[in-house]
Amino acid sequence: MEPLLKVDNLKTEFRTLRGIVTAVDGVSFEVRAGEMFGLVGESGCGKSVTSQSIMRLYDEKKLARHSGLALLDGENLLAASQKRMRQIRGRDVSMIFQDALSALNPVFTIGWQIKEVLRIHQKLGNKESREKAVDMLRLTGIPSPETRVDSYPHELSGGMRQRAMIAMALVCKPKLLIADEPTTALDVTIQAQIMEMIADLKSSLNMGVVLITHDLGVVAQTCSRVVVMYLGQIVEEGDASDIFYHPLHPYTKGLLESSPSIRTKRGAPLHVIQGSVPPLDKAGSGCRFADRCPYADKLCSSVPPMLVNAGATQKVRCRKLGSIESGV
Amino acid sequence: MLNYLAKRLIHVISTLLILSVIIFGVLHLTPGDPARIMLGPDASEETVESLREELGLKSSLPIQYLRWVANAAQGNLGMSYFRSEPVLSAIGKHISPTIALSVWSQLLALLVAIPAGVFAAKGKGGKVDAIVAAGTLAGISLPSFLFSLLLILIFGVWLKWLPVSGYKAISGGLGNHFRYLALPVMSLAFMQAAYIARITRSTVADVLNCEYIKTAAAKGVKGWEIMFKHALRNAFNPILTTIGQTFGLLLSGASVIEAIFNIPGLGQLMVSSILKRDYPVIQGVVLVTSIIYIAINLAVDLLYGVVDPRVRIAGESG
Repeated sequence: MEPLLKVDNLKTEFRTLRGIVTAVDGVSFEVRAGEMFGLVGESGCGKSVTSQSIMRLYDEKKLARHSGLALLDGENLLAASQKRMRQIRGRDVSMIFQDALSALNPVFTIGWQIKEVLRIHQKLGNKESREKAVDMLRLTGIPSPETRVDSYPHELSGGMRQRAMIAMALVCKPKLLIADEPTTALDVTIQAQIMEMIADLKSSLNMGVVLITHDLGVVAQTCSRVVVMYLGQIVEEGDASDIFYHPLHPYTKGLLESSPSIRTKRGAPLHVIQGSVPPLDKAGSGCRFADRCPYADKLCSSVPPMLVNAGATQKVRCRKLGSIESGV
Repeated sequence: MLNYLAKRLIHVISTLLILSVIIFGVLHLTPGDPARIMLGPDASEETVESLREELGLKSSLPIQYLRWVANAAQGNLGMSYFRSEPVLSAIGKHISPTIALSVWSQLLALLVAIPAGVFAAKGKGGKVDAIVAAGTLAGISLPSFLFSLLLILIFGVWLKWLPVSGYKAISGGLGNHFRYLALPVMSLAFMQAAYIARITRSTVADVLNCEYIKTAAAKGVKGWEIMFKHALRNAFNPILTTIGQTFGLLLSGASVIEAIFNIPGLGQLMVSSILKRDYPVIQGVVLVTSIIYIAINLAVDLLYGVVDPRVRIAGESG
């Protein structure tokens, strides 16, 4: 089956004060209709830039170069005109963001903001679009949507706002939803509800979802396939369960060990990945994780590793793979 | 909302009371005897004395004040010393040119400044931004009398397109009204536009960094709609403040521009009354312009809530 979204060798470079910086470096992945796909990494690893590259939502003036393919149903979004992109945004591809309070416009009611999408893409009149907005709010689990539709974002709770934003993103029944850390700003109990709702809507609308997160636990529960990114590159990809139970790349292992779980011994200190994500322009010629990697040797920081097959579903970018697995 | 309005009205009344004391006090504490000025240096002491009696200048200051306030509250601001007409009718005659001048220059300024500010913010650091920055700098730093003289030179003297002096009321036909007001309106609008464009540019530029602008783009909203609906509405309250301030300034009479273009507005009335020590007129004009200021501030405060619902909530509970 043809994938819904096929990203092939995507490369996005920005002009900055310190010169040209490669924010996304040769990323490839596929998302099928009805599939939830995970894009995982720390802040600054390029996962948000990847999604914004697909949507072409970055600052065009700062963009230096853009190459590769982002095919949505076979149409290359990177080559589409601005006008065509405006048709696609909100109708075929939608986005939801981390913090609904700052992502919703404070001076318009949520109803107005949902209706705006319908007005643009379906040319609906006021009454019809209001009904649709109310239906969509009901679908996302907002109580008494007939009155909530006239609320301003600041009058709703955090969970409610996130539901309203999801309603706004899905009101045109898009083929693809990009969810950029949709639950990070929410309480844990609400997080689970929101993720469950996204998963339900994904199935009922048969849409593809790209879930951007730093939480591998959420990915393991909801996604079928996962890509782990570090400094603009894919370091590991595979089926979610494989990545979760048999992580191969030292960075993936570090990410997993640094989140607390039932298996973590009580009182034992939580694992920490040494150092922090370096600025993109400081990336050396070799493995980008070498400075922080406990297994790295001299060659690691000069020889760039390739993304190679490892096992049935996994690919990994690490030249020390053999020695790590044998425990040396 | 009503609650809020009532609170504001109490503010307004107390402000007016304090103001009336100041207006009354300042003029009566300045040296110079109005009766003597009215009659000239040749009049005998008895005549001056009897006029003082007639004008009520012999009573104590508190009595004079109370009399003045009581009359003012009924719309009676007294008789002008020199114009042989009530103060209110003198103000009435002079206020309509000022209102016309203020409203048209404010509208022209908004029409130019808001798009200019928005486009400058959108292309921050680019060509449009540089042009707008240069224009606003000129508008703020160039004295309005100099700019109006330049306009007179270009449009009145060289091109001979527009009259350079006088005022025609709107009742005498729109065409003539605008022909006569064109140059003074342009002179005043330039500076106004400069302030408004500056504040628009900076607030819109801030708003454009907000997450919800990206959300709007992700919904497929067109560029100009993002700028003028999503961004401008959020940036509008600081702009409104600036509009309120500059509009109040205009309505209190742009005396320099009125003098240059020979427009019989409030500013002219004020200047001539001060020169003649026509106390009742001075007091009346100051009172009227103060009331205009207070009304504009009240209107701006109420509009904040219309523009931004978060202000509305704060106003109701507070």
